[in-house]
Amino acid sequence: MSDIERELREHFGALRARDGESAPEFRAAWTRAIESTGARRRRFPAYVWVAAAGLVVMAAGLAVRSAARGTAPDDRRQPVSDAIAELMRWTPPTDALLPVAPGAMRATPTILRSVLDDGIPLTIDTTSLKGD
Amino acid sequence: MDRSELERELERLHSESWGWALACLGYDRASAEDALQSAYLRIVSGQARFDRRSSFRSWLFGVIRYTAMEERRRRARASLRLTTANEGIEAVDPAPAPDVVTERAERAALLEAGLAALSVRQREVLQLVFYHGMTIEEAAGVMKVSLGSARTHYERGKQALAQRINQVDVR
Repeated sequence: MSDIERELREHFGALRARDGESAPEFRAAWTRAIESTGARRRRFPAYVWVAAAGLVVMAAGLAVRSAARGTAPDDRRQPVSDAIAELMRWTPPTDALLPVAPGAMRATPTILRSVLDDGIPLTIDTTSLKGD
Repeated sequence: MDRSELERELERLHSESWGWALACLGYDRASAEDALQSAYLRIVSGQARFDRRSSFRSWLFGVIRYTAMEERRRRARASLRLTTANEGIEAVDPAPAPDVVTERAERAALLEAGLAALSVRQREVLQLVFYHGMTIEEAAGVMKVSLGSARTHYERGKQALAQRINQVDVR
């Protein structure tokens, strides 16, 4: 043991003796601890019930939510697809007045075509126009 | 370990436990009393169980240390809320208590002041070794640090404390 250690041991010995004189009674501290445990146990069931009730509410909420999530997409999608089909089937009521086949007015017009085309046979290379 | 056996062991180590609680809480008597009682409560309620992996004393000191850390945090939060106006005032008063008249009490007060200037780890390892007579290895177990780390804290703390005590002694 070095001199420093010897010196420190003496100081700590003095501190230990002083602390020993001021120590609270074990019996009192122990009894209070036991009493606190009893109080804690009495409170325990209330906490358990509150926690259990909270868990039940949370579980019920989650179940309802997941059930709603499972059915909602189909319900929402059905009217949309019905509406699209309805639009595709629709024909304008004035179609009968036109001297063209029904639906021909909505067809893409022929590019670079004229009534004179029948008189002058002309061939145009349309591939060169691509990319312009 | 049944309750009566537990009680006997705690009673036997009560004085030492008190000293350790005081050291963990910077010699604040009120905090140390609360921490010691909370530690007993933790033990008697079964929150802390002795698993015989270390000596009963090492385990008990570990429980007290943990409880004291919680107590320190609780007090720090409370004092932060209540005494924000007193910023800058030192928490630890290194001056000896007024009733310190005997040489032993003076030594104790001197040591207490010296310990207050050390880091928490240094203070803990010195307390465990010199006050409670533990080996550095046992102290490392209580402090939950490696043996090498405990040795470093021990050596540095020892030098710093001796220097501080001698400085004050010379004045």
